[in-house]
Amino acid sequence: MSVLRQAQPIRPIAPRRHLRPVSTRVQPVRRTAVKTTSQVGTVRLFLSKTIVRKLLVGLTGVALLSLFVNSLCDGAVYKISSLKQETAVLATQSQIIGQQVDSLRSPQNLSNSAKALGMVVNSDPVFLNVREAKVLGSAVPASASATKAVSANLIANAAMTYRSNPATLNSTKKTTIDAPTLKTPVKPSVKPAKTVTTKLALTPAGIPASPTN
Amino acid sequence: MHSNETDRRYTLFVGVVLFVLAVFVLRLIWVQVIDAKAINEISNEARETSRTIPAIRGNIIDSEGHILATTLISWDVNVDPKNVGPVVLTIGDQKVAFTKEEIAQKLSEILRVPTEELLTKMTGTSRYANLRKAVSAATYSKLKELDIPWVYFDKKQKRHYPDGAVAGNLLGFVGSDGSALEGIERMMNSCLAGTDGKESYIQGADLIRIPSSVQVIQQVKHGSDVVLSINSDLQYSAQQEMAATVKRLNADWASAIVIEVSTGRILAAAEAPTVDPNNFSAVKAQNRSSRIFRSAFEPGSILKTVAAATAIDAGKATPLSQVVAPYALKMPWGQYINDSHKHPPEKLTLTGVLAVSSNTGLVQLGGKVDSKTRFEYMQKFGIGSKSGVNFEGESSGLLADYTKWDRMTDQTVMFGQGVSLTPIQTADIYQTIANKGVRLSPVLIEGCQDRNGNLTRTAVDSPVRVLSEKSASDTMDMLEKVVEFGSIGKTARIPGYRIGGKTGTAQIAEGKGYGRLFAVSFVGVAPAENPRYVVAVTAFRSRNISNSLGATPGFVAIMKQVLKTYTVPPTTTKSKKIATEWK
Repeated sequence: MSVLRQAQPIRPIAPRRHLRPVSTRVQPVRRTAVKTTSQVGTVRLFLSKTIVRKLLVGLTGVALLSLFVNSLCDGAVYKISSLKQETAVLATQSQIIGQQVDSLRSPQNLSNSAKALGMVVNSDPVFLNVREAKVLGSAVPASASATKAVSANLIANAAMTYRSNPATLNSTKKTTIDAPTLKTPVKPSVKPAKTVTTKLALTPAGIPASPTN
Repeated sequence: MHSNETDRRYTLFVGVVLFVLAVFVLRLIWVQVIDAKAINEISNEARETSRTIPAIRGNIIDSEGHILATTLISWDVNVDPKNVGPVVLTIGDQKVAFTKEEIAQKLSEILRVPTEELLTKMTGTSRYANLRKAVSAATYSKLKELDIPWVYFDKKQKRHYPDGAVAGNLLGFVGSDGSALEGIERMMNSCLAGTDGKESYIQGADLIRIPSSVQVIQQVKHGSDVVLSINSDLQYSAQQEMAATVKRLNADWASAIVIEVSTGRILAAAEAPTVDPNNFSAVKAQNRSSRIFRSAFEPGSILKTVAAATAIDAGKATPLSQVVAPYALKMPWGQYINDSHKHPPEKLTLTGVLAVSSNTGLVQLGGKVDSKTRFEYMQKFGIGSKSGVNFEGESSGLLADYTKWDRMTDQTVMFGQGVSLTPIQTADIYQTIANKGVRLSPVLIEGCQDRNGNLTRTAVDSPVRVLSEKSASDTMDMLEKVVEFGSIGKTARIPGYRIGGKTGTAQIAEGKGYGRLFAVSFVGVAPAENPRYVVAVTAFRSRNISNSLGATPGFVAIMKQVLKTYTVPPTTTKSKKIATEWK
């Protein structure tokens, strides 16, 4: 509204007429600087021009900012889309590798690999009671004939799409593993009931090489 | 004057701007308020789209956290026959042109579908032809590399069972449309399935979704995991043994159950033949489910343990109660009950009756307990009712009310005829005896575990005290003598361990009588001095061996594996001395 009013052609403003009480007391004359109507209009016009300019600059600024943000968003959209495609490719690769791992660690593959390597099941375990220095059970060497019936895999697995290559497994180089040694003496938390004298098969050189490798 | 002209023009300019703004504002009000609904509808139809976010089906995992069933992505490979034609492919740095036939040849090598079949599908004017359904990620990746413009893919979920037929009889399977068809997949579908989500969004002209436009209509809820009590390594070993047993005996099928005595948890429930859920259509329908829970048959002498335990608990007998057991026992009404093999009258104790599995001895000692009491004990042992597992399609077996027993059935139920049990019910009886007379509901499904690892345990039936602790202990002592002195029981021995068990050779009902083939079984408990595990082995319709000698090798192999898996040390004690005969 104010803009409209300010935009009207400037003309002298007629004084308002209405009754008002008049004091009979003589007032001292004060000289004040009174602006003419023409001057008031010019000021208002100046103010209104300033506001409009600011408004226009502001609107232009907002528009430019909006354009900038929009272009940033658009760029981000395409970036997101591209990353999603990349994620899909990686997910596919991950699934391929996961299925390979599943196949290789399936009991069917392990059983076949073990058999190919000449391994047999020893179903007569022996337990060592370290505290009492006792051997529980009788150590019986595992024999292929004892487990012949079930040494080959008999369980179907259509998901086993990858198989270990026994030739590769056989060619694996021997690895020497040093026996672990305690550098600092450890105080036992439980006192042994009695001192047990045992002869250990373990030589100071470490764990003897397994005959079955 | 100059100033007035400028002011006039300025005023005009502002007036025009304000007028235009007013028009825009009015139009905006019209569009946003007055006609908003209609315009929105037109706009949404044109640009808004919605999609279903499929819930990912949960995993089935074993007691060690090993995944037995999971969900993968697979792809249907389709072509647009109308656009099929020569293709220029980039091979290395070069662009090479391929004919339709050459492309078909390449596709054939990847898809493993005959070239002729592919060419037939690729020819025509339709816009869709499926070349192969549900290909793996590896196959999809190879096809994607070819980048053939008229080949496109539909992504779907595919159920994947990494261990194949291991526990296949329990897991069940889902159809190609993702519907649960069998086993735990079906039984626990509410836990596994989840709820599909739905979202709507606006897409640009290039079909790319505008991020700020996405509105979630329904939040997707992925399926939870089902945790089983099964140990998959043990399950595999047991299945291997059962497959070997079926082969050795030329039997219809064989089953083995391993139960942890103190908890009732089923550690293995193996069967052969069984199903590979990855390819369930490759096996016959009768091999696609679990006989352990569904097949009820007369168990035979395995049930003598129940009659003996009942007699002891009812105070009518002790392990040393004496009886003379003839080969054939004439009943007061004139009919005979026979033993399985001819022998002169034997002076046996109740322990001896179990050790030699004498029918005639058992009906004399077991028969001291009235029918009603025997029936009630059988019910308490779980006979005639489903196990607490409530497996999909589980059978409750058959136990007729004692008032409906005829005079012979009243006798024969004591040695396992005239009553039918599933293998799980049989195993549960021995769990009860081993667990100091308290029957626990067998547990196969531990519960439903959400994605945060919170496990909601499956409800189990309350424990039932069936026998007193003393009666259960006496019964275990007698079962130990079966393995020590029984002619077949001896073959169930495991060096270093005290084993208790019972043999069973059951006739199989065929038509109105019994067939010539048997269900042979052995159920054993170890270690007898502190029972921890029950192993129950059954071979159905064995053609090569018609007694429990067919079942004991499987029992020994599986029990050895159990003792090794759970590091049960050999025993250091000796069994009680209990006479099996008297003079």
